[in-house]
Amino acid sequence: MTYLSRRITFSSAHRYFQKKFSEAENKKIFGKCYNEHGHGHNYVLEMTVGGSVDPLSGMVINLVEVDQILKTVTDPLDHHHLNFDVPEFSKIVPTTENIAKYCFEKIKDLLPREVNLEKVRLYEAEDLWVDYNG
Amino acid sequence: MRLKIFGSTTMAKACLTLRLSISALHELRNPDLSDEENKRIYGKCFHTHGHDYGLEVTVEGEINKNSGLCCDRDFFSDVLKKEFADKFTGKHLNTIFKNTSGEILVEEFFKIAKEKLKPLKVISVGLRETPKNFFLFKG
Repeated sequence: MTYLSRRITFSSAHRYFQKKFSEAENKKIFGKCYNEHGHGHNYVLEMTVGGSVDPLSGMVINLVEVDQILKTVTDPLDHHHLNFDVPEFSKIVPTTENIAKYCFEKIKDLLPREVNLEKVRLYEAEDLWVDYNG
Repeated sequence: MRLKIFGSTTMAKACLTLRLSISALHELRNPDLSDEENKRIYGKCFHTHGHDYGLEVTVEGEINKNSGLCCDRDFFSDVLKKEFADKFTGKHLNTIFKNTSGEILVEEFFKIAKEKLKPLKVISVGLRETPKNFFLFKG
């Protein structure tokens, strides 16, 4: 098995807010991330696929195809406020964990069957990231 | 743990990694050996020198259905600051550990992280000694 990783960046705003929680609970659990208007990050999404190397192309998957998939998945997030502009995050909190899970599921749907999505890694910052593998 | 109050999880697991920097001194020296033997084994690393170590601690947890979080991040970062940044920054690591090779340090740091971060589940600790070398310990 050979693994290939590719990155893409996107910039989004988000706010950690759970309407099921009281204001005190939101403040306690989410701290500064509960700020009224939210805040933003330059996210880095890294996907890793595994598969066998095609003897003709010498590739696990064509990078052009990988880039298209990453762009398709992140375009709805890039330069948007996740809580308001992405339907999936109207009900669940757009935490790094949930955004990683969202990206994993969207990428998995778009990948050709012969390659396996091993994991996605989502960097919220250089010193904080989440790995999700389904 | 604050998140336990809100119980239910999505049954989806995620791993969260926090990274912090520790500037500290060390030298590669086995106190049971002579200076000459140490020099032969460790070369220039035998001299006291320092690094901006990059410590990467990874915990695994189920994503809480309500909060969307897999762990209590404030607890996680507070413990890392208290048990690593505050304890080791500016210290000569050989005064704390018998051997300060990257391999030994990463395992020692894993043991500390595992103990101090309970009830979080620490699955690995990575230690970047320089841009060119990196050690990983998985428990």
